[in-house]
Amino acid sequence: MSELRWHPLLSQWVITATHRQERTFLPPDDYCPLCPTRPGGFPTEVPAEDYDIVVFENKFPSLQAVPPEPAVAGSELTPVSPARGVCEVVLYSSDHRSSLTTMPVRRIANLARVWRDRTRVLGAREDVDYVFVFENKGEAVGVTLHHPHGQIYGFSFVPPIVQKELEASRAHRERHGRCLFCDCLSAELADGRRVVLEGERWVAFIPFFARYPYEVYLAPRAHQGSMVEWSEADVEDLAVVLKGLLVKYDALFDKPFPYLMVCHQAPVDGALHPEFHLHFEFYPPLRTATKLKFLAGCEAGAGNFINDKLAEESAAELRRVGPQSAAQVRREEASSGG
Amino acid sequence: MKEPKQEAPQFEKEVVRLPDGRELTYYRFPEGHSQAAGKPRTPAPQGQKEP
Repeated sequence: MSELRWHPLLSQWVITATHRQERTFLPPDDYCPLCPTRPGGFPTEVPAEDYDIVVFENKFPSLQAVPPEPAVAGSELTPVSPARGVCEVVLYSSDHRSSLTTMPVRRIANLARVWRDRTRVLGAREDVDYVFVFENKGEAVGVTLHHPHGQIYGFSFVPPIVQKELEASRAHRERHGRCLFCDCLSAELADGRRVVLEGERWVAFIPFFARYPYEVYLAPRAHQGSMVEWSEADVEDLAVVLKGLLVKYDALFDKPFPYLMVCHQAPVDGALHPEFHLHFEFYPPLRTATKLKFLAGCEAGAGNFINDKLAEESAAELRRVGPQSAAQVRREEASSGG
Repeated sequence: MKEPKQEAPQFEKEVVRLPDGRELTYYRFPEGHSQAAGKPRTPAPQGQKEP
């Protein structure tokens, strides 16, 4: 059963999807449903012996193209609606032990090309108003399958956090005639203390207002609203800076670094959104090598984050480890034959 | 949103239907991304091709 239930106090939809309780939970490595189907082996989600990158509809979707009717009746106060949309799984590699961090830059660039294509494909659908690309990495953030993969949700509505960013961006543009995110990025570049890694076209930085100890934004220098605006040069530089950032994350505590990675881009709802500036946001749950940052009473109940670290100090820590420049990422890539 | 000028396609795409009706898309890139060097290309998948 799945449906949208309206939360009148927060003015947003809540998705119920009870069938997701049945989804595969941390299977052994030799029984991974996201690996290729080996000759004589059990049938996985992918009926091929090998693959580059695969995208398929989630077996346990929260949103569906043909959703069931809501199981409960709504009211004027709390309407319900079918959970319309699409949930896709993106398999980054057929190699079970790979990860976005360990992949060669050229593969990361190919993944970005797939994200761009899915934005185009899903964005053309009448039932999709928002294309949301994300990855959950590590058991600390609730990952149930270790095979390297991400997800894409095609929402039939603009999700609430993006809606809030849109409203703030629109108000700033009306007041100042400029893009809010461009102004934030200019301020970060001018200050420099929170910049983590710079490419020719992309910049990774911890925002002044970071909520998580090692939260990072990765954004294009140029004003771009959507992945479909990416040129090949944008894709290639994104892959370099993304790789560099992820290597830094792993180097920080000398272990695979869990994170949530989300991409905020402009809606595909038929309207123009010149106010919106695409960017990736990373929310790592670690505040030290061994301690998690929990969303506790103040964060979950009041919506106010308490960050246990100064963004300037976290950025300095990240700058010190891993590749020191995008050029170094490129050099190491070339020397490893990637 | 504006799109950049058309560039050469960077991949081949094949859309198939899984037995339960879900859509699956293979993205294949020119340089090949098989996990083992020298491995043959991805074989034709089972499942019904989209018309």
